[in-house]
Amino acid sequence: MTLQEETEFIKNLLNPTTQNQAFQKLLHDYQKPLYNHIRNIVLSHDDADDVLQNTFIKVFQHLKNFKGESKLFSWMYRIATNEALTFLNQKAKKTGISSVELQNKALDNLKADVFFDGNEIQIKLQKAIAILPEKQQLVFKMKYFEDLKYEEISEILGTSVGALKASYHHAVKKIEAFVTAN
Amino acid sequence: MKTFKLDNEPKIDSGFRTPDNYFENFSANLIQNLQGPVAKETKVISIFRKRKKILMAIAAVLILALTTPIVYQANTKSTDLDSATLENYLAEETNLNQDELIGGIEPENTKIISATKELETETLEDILISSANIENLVIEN
Repeated sequence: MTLQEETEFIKNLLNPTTQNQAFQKLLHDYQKPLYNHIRNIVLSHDDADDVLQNTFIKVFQHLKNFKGESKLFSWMYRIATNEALTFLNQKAKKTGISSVELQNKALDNLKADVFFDGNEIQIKLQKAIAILPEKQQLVFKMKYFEDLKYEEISEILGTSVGALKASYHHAVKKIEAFVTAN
Repeated sequence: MKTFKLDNEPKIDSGFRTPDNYFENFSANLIQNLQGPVAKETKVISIFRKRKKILMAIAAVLILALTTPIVYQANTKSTDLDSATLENYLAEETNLNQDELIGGIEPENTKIISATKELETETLEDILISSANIENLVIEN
């Protein structure tokens, strides 16, 4: 979508007469990539479903405040990332455990998850990712699983491309070391 | 042990799946929700609004505490007798002379007052003697 097309699309989203149709297009274009992004963070399908709903509700409610300083795509990814991380933190608080413990618990439940059909190497990879710091986890998942470009990740996370490349490089090294050792 | 290299391996899929028709149902449910009460933005109640009542209550108590003594004093007639009223009463309504009055109020003050009285008399005499035009004064009076 070019900048001009995107501006036109945002206008349609804000116009009450064209809003419904435009929002359906927005859902059609973004629900899958945003679901994958959220699922990679929260791991469970039910949690991803909740967070995806909250993300689109927030997008809908705050569209009027969208200033067009960034692309619609990166703005929505940013909302999804924040929603997913906030969801995990709140869940950890409610259950009285740390975010790391919560993630380990979610990993343990993966094998029993009917919406996960990963093999041994996929589970090992998820366990390796879990040992990374939060930012490295995000960068690795967005680059490796979601095939996002560094420029796009940079716009979403507000980090320079150079720093992202370094983060990804460190993440890969740690993952390789973990999988080799285990 | 074989060293694992991510680039040497075929791309590893995340392994996450979704229920059948999940995205179709998701869109329909979300649009239904957005047309319902969810679409209305949740009203945000400022915590200062709650505090405002407390602050107003504190302010009211302070105003009452500060103004009560002033109002009470303004509305209460003083029952204290001032010395002029008392003196006039004793002079007009009783048969006591000035010396009896002084002696009655505080006996030990009598000596001081008498000494002062004597001194005052002597001083007066000195002034009268030393004054050159005493005769004029005597004549005038």
